[in-house]
Amino acid sequence: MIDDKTFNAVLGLCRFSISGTEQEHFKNQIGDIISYVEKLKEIDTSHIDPDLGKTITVNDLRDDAPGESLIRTKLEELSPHFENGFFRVPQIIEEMEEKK
Amino acid sequence: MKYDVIIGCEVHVQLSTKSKAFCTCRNVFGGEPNSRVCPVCLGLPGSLPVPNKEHIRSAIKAGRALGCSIAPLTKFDRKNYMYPDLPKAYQISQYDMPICNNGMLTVFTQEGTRDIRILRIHMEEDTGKNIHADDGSHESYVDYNRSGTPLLEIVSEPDMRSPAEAAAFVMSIHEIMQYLEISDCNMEEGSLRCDANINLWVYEEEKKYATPIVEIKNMNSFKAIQAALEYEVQRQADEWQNHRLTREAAGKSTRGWNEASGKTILQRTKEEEADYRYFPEPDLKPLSISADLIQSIEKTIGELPKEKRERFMHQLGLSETDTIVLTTEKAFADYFEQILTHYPNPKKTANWLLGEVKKYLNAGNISISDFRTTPAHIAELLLLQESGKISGKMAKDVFIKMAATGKAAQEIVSAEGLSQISDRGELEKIVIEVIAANPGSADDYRNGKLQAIKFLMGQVMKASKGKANPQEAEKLLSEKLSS
Ligand SMILES: [Zn+2]
Repeated sequence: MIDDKTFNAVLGLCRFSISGTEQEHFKNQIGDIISYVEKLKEIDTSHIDPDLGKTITVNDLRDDAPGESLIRTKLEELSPHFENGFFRVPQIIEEMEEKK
Repeated sequence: MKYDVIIGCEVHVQLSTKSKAFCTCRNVFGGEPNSRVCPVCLGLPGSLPVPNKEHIRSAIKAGRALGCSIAPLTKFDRKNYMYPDLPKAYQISQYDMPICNNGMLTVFTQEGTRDIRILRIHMEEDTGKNIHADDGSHESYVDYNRSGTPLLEIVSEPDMRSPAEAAAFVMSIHEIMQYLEISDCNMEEGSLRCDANINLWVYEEEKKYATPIVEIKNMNSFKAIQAALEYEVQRQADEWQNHRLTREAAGKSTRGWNEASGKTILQRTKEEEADYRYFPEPDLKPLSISADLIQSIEKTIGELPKEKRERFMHQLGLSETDTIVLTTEKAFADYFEQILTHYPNPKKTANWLLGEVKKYLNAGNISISDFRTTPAHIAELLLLQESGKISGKMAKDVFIKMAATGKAAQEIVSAEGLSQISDRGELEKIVIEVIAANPGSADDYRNGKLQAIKFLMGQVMKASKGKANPQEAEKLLSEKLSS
């Protein structure tokens, strides 16, 4: 089980807002996920070298050559809120007023 | 109140690669909104990033120019946060294994020189841009053209001790990036952006107290950096006197510089600080970097501003002031040196560039790269003047015509019959005529009124329609008058 502080922090990071009746339900679910990860942390890995797996070199990467981008009509198809060339999203408040 | 100012900087440099960091969309500034976007830089499900070789190469180049060691093994990580300008809800960045570590940059201010340690340089991608709707709809517009633009983030240690040093540090980074030709460094367009962390160490009764660290954002010019940090020093000093809050008690906050009000405004406090939950980018394999690659990139670095300045002063014998103006912009310094290949007189060339040429460029707000007159044309003009074919005054007039038309100096001189009379025989004829026509002045001169030669010279210039070579003419005049 997780405490309210952790639960609210996770909701904040996900930008989720959950109504009163659903609170318990989701608190249990998120609690389950967190306790599962906590369990993984019990495994002693101190004797194992962190293995980054196969590495690649710069030669394996892409040459700096421009290609095609998506056309406007495709973007309009992809987004329900596309207007005058822009995607429309809920407003973001950039600056807080100085706290007194 | 006795205190030290402690400042560290984070400089974001947008690289001028042809394509974006992880997709092939073109990487340029501006244009129609959302005209350079694809499934990768829009973060559509199922799309996969592919790093751009040039992003890695530029990072190594910048790192070596700033004295960093290059990591033999590096990787990308995800920095997670929710914001509409970040379509994947994470930014591909580097967390614990940045590509460059431990560099050094020495900065010069009126207070003296200071070595600023570079903690790290890492690669990441830029975000899109939000434009706030002003129609009262509580909605914003997002343009993802900038999304995925390759960035370098250069992080200094908190080694700067004044706002002036911080501004000098960013100026120096700006100059070096420009010399490396990896960024257009246009601060107005956001190609080079700086955030700074600042706090004070207050000394009271043998004790040292650190005030809370504040991150300052939104400083878009060297002037803004200095002004914002100066404001912040004062604000933190006042805060200390009113509330005596220490770094331990209050933690970190973020403030934005507001150019219009000349103040920093609180944006975020520690409690609201983002938790980025970094983890290795599972879509990209770790990258190993060979010593051969580093060496081959080092060879492309070329002369850096400091080395160029030393050479200009010590080998070319230029003054410090002239050197600084000539070398601030690499393209300008290159132009200067190209003239020298045709006309090897550094001082005269510098005078011309910093005088006539600079005046012309500034008046028309023209950059040296857009300037029509080539270095070879300027050299030709200076040679014409030096050989006495045209006078200094003529050279200035010819230059204005060259700059306006892009024509060569000789072409304008010939077309307008501007050449100066330096031929001894021709000048002698004019001088003899002038002496004959002005016997009074000639006698005055002979009787010791040496000033009279000025009047006679004026007559020579008049008779030659301004074309007589003044030095030669004056020499001839005094010869003839004394004989
Ligand atoms: Zn793209």
